[in-house]
Amino acid sequence: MNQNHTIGTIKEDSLRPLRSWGRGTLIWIAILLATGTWGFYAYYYQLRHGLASTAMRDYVSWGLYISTFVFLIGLSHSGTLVSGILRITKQDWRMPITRTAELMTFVSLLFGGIMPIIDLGRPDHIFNLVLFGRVQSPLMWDVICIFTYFVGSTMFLYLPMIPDMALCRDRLKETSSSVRRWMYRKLALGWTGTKTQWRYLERSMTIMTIIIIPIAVSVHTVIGYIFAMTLRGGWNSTVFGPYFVAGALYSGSATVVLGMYAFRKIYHLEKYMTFKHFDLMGRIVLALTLIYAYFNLNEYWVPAYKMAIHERHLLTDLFSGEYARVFWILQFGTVLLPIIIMSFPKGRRPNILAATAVLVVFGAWLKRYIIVVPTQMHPFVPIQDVPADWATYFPSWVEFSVVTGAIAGILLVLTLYSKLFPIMSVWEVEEGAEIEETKRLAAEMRSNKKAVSEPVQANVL
Amino acid sequence: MKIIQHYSKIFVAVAVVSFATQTAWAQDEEAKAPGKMEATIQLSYLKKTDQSKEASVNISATDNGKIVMAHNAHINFYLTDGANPVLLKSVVTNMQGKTTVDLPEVLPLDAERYFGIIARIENDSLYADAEEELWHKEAALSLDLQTQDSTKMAVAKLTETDAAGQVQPLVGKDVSFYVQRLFGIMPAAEEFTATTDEEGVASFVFPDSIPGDSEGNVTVVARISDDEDYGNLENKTSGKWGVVLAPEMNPFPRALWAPNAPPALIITLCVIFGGIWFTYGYVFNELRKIDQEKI
Repeated sequence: MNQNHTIGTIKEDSLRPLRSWGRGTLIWIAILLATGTWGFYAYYYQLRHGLASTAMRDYVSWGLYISTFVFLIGLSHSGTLVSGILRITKQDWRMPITRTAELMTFVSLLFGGIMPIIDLGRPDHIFNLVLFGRVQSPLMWDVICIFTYFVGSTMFLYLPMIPDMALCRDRLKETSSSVRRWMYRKLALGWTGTKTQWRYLERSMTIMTIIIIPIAVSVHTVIGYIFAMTLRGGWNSTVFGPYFVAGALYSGSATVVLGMYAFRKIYHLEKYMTFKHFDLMGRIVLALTLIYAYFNLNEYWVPAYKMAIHERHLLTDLFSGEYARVFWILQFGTVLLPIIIMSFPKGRRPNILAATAVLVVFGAWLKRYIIVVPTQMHPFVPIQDVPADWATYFPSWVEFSVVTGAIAGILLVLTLYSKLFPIMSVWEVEEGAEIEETKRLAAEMRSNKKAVSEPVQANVL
Repeated sequence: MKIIQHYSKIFVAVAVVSFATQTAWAQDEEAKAPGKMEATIQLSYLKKTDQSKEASVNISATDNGKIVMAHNAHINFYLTDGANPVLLKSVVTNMQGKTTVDLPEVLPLDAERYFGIIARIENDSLYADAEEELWHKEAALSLDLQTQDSTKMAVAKLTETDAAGQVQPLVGKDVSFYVQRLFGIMPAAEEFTATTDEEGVASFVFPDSIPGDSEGNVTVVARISDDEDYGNLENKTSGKWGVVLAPEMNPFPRALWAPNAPPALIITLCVIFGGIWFTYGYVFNELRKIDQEKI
């Protein structure tokens, strides 16, 4: 590909989706809004009728909401992994996909963070955490970590957007409304691309890249602690912190693949998000799935070998009882099968990899459910003298509706973002293209030199 | 014209058959319509330490083949001496399908000094009619804590009053001995039952190792359970028979759920998050500088 042609078209290719809202987009947004409204109605119903409108009772007080919370916070590791880790290790191929990853982090934190408030039943009680919160409580650590991570991720998403905001400000004058022009102007912070501005920006990005990785690790470790700091069977585990981090990276990386696949297909970014990107992301997902499978083995094999009395009923239920079907589908269908598929180069091609990523993401959500719910159905003192339906848990229509509304909200934010801001970091992709071009020229020069020196050597001989 | 008539006949025939079939099906559906749940009543009688008496029911029901607790069941309690039952009270069961009513001090007795209690579900919207009754005689259970040669003896005496007003001992009845704990009663020893002798007395050697409160107080419970003639009787008495349990001055020596967070934890969190937020502040400042650099 000609460099000038590439550099010239990168800007245009990135800004094209921002210039118009197609009919399809508007229909899609309407569907998402309708679903989101239904979710709002369900939440209003829950507020009006109390948590009794959910299926949660005395035994299962953390159900679908908390499972979804853990799942979404896990997805938020996508930005840390792809953007943070690949940025710090100077992987140039990351450039077209970093924005997708950072956006996934932002949006999953945004909606993941509200899940515990929904689960609370009385949202006004959240202020009690500030007023009466106890520093030694893992729940308090969780709130602090997630809020810190959310602010950090927002900055991490925003920093590389600044030059692109200036680009939008300058290039979308004619096609944008006055509100959008105002927004671009404000978000661009008066960016003109001076040397000093670049210095400030690069320094900020380096700092945020370094700091966001330990924060992300701490967030999911602390979420693991919420469970592991109890003595409950299935949760009382020393590996829960790293196990949750591994699970988060496994599902987060698969989410990036899904984001890449969707944006590439919808906005025709095949030139930028190539087979090579999918192949490399596939390798990353594969490696993380293997690590996750290793943790899974440890998490179940060690207690299953001992079969301690308080773990026995839970493990029996998981291995051969009520939850056995879901448990084994998870292990074989969403861990082992993706490993097999992604081990082959053909399995890392966009279509197959995206399908595998769906399996992984769905499996990650189901896994959170299997971690959160069955343990609560196995309390230390057996369930007795309660209505029969308290001894089982299956989410009510209210819970399903609220969670579906939240997922619609996530997709809505992603859609709106991609129609308002470039979905690729334009200046980084240009930088990547320049690096590639330089490498190509260097290789060409080397081969020319070789071609020139070979006849000379032949003459000498 | 003939064709129209012919088709009209067919149409009418089909309509009649269809209507008849639908009506028949509707009747079937009505017959199969989900009815009321079958309820099973467990009725019991208890005479307590203060000589007050109560009747309790525990109702379960069958809902689509599953046994559930019959909550919100309307139940009527009757007292009877064998003649016409007299309504005592109407109550509703709780979420666990249970309810209790206090019985009057004087109960109607039959010729053999038995009184009858009847519990009925009548015309309830959820549960089919059901009835359970029991017949018992009144008895008295006393409990005395005695120390004989440094042996702690819980002595229970079971008596009844005959028609002539004479107190008669009840012989050969099993009395169980328990200690009161926070969430209920626990057997006081591995062998915790004694049988009444010819004087109606059952003695139980109280173990030395039962934990009491901070002063050694322990509540001993004597109980007759599910006796065919006398139902349940209970008597409780407290004494300093327990092992003194020194109050834990520091119940959470190093637990994270202690009332106050360890200073080391507070310092660690402050340093880590203070550092992170300071860094954020620094980055914000860099952004401010970018804004100020505009030409």
